[in-house]
Amino acid sequence: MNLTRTLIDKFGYEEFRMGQEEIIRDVLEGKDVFAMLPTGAGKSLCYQLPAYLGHSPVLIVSPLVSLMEDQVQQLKTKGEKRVLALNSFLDFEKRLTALQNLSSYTFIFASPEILQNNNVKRTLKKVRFSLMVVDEAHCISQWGHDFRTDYLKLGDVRAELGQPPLLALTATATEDVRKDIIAQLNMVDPTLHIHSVDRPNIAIKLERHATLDSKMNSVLEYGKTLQGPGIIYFSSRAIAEQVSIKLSESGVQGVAAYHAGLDSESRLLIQQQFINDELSLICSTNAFGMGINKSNVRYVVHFHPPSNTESYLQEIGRAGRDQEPAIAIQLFTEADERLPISFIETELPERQQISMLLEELRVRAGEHISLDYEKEGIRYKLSETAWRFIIHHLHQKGILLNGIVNTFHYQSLLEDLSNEVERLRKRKLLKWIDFKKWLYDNQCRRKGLLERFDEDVPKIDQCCDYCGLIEEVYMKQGDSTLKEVTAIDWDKELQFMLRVEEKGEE
Amino acid sequence: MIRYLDGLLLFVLHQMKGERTISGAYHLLKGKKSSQTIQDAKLFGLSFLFGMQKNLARGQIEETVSTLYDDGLLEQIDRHTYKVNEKGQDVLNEFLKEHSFPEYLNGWKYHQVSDDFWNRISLYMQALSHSVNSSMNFYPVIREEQAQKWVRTHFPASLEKRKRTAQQLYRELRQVLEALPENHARFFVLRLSGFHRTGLTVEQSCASLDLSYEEGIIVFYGVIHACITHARNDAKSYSIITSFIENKTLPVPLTASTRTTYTMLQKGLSFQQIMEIRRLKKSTIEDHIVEIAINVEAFSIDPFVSKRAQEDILRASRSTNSHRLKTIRDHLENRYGYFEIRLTLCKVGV
Repeated sequence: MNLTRTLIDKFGYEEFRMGQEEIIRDVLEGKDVFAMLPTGAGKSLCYQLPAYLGHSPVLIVSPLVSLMEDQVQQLKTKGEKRVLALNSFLDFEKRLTALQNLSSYTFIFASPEILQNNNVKRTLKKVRFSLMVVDEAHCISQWGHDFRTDYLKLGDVRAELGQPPLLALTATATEDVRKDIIAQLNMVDPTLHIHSVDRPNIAIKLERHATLDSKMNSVLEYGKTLQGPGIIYFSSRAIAEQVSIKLSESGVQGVAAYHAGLDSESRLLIQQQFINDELSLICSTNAFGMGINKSNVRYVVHFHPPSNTESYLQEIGRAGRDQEPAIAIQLFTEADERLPISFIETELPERQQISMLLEELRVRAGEHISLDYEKEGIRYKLSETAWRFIIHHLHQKGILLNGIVNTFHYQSLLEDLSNEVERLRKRKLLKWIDFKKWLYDNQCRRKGLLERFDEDVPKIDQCCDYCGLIEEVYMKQGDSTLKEVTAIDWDKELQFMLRVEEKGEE
Repeated sequence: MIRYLDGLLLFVLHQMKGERTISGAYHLLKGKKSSQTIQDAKLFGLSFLFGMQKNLARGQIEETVSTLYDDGLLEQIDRHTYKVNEKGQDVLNEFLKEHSFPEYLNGWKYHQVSDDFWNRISLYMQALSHSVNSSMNFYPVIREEQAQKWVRTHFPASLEKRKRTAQQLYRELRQVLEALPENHARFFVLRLSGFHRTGLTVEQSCASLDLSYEEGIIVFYGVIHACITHARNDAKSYSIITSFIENKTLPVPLTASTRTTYTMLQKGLSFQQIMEIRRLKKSTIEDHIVEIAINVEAFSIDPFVSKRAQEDILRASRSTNSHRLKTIRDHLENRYGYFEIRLTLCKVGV
């Protein structure tokens, strides 16, 4: 079968990137496939190309609505019309018509939550899927860094859909996480395509500071001198804004802040400006990046440490997708060590919150309760993760059945749940401690990262600050190439946009 | 020179004559859809500013009031009530000379169509600009499903037609924009996306024109409202702009509960009957009626206030130079209730 022909015709690429062709061949043979490809290696092609060769329709499960929408939009931009995104944002009537015409779609994206909806499931069962894809498959594992309880049910969903061949995709999964994914998804004798998490074209630098002030000076200096496009990650909106403003004021062109506090139109515009090289630097919380397809990011700076190695790799992996040299710089101070810990603490439910919830459920035994976070979860001041975590365990223990609360032994359930939370908290803390250790280790940075995935380190130039790094390579060389748009003449601009002749009148 | 938000708030407080708390000013600028806010807007001639600062935080307004007070521009009437003093009026006049409000700004009248209009025009413009410049691959700047669907169904099919449409859209926009201040036109055009660049966010446009966010957003709505006004007055000359507000017939903007009361009134039910059927308090129905009176021009208040009472109340308001219900009621020696006074004042607009 001539895969390259299809690649050129449908995608306009001359050749496959590493790993893609082998994965696609296995998918076409109807095997269960587990593929770990580094970020930016072109994972979505692994199910899109088979679809064009008749392996259609494809069901793609994706954890984030934003990610899903981006993928849908990208397919539509390429001219693909038979794409559907099933998620809770789709309004009821639209969902109804879409479900009635399911068979006319090639790509059906679905959130794991929507797959729990009986109506949706019933309709999906009528479709014979040639392939089921689980994107960001590490979300299925409790041991992963991004655990989603709804992902755990995907094994059952697959069985209900008649066990279509399955492709599990992820960028970062340690050995234990891989095993967990394969087991949870009931994958039969899967072919494994494990590629290195290493991105040899990304140089790695660690930079420790004694004070916040000196770290701040350093980030401003990097913002001024590094050759963009680049992303600087912060764990606080306020600091992201502040740095963005300071950099603009000091004359850096094309800087913008990006975080969940902006309205959706602004977020979309800033994303597009960045992708189109109209901005050179985004100061962002980790809300930015998922699903953003930009190949020429030249640097990623972390102003705060993320809470585990996998998140770190995912975030720096947004640099250098064009395989050209790029650099990742992690800044930190001792005070930063508290951040991930407090993040983990607020994300998980406290014993007292669990007991409050159980006390109320005890009274409501036999009643139907809403599982909606906005309606119920928020009342107990639980985070969304915490709410889902508890609901998931209540389901597993048979205390919640079809939304009805069964009677339970209060004290023992409280102990059980608290223990579960404790286990998860420990896991997360260990992951953070492991990453923190990397921050302080006195050895090759790349070696440290790869060790955690049982990989050996290849010998590369421009490896990391420990092995020696020539940083000038990553600095701005000439003047900015950004287009200046502010000084426009509105009339000429409109004429230009709409391609109207100078006179205007006919 | 004072900040834009200072001047804006000074204006609102001045219009309110010390007869409303700062919460009243806040709700008005935020666009709270309550009877009280809507009445105030009409009563004090502030409808055009309704909802024109949706992102305003309560803290900001409190901070602004205390700055104005510290600068000696306000006189405190009550704990949360301030009146603009003489010095404040001078500062306000200076401010308004520099920053007159956009001519077509009409927050209340267009609050239900402004955002839809913007979604449609910006997406349509992006699509049209790409297609007449022969590149149909673009990432839509508007995600909103309704707008996307609308643009898909209204987009001209042939290239010939697209080119003509582009000409026409250009002419219409130029017609509207060239009558506006130059920087308002520029603000609007900067926000549009085309084949050659992505539109700027409100904040970015503000930065490039050196405007504060508060002023920028008012300038932006001012241009949108200018487009809508022209389209409504002369649909023939502005056929494309008109299409951006089609199917968006301006429904009489009533809050949901008021609408129910209005429907019942139209069916001929009496005040008393509505109260009983809806199990609502008298004061609530009164609020509804005032809201209807403000928004439905043809609605007569005569069944609720006698002609004679209306005349007395208006005369009292003029001679006391006040919109304050209590002042008027006292002046009329309690002959009429608050409801009658309120209804009369808002209907006439004074």
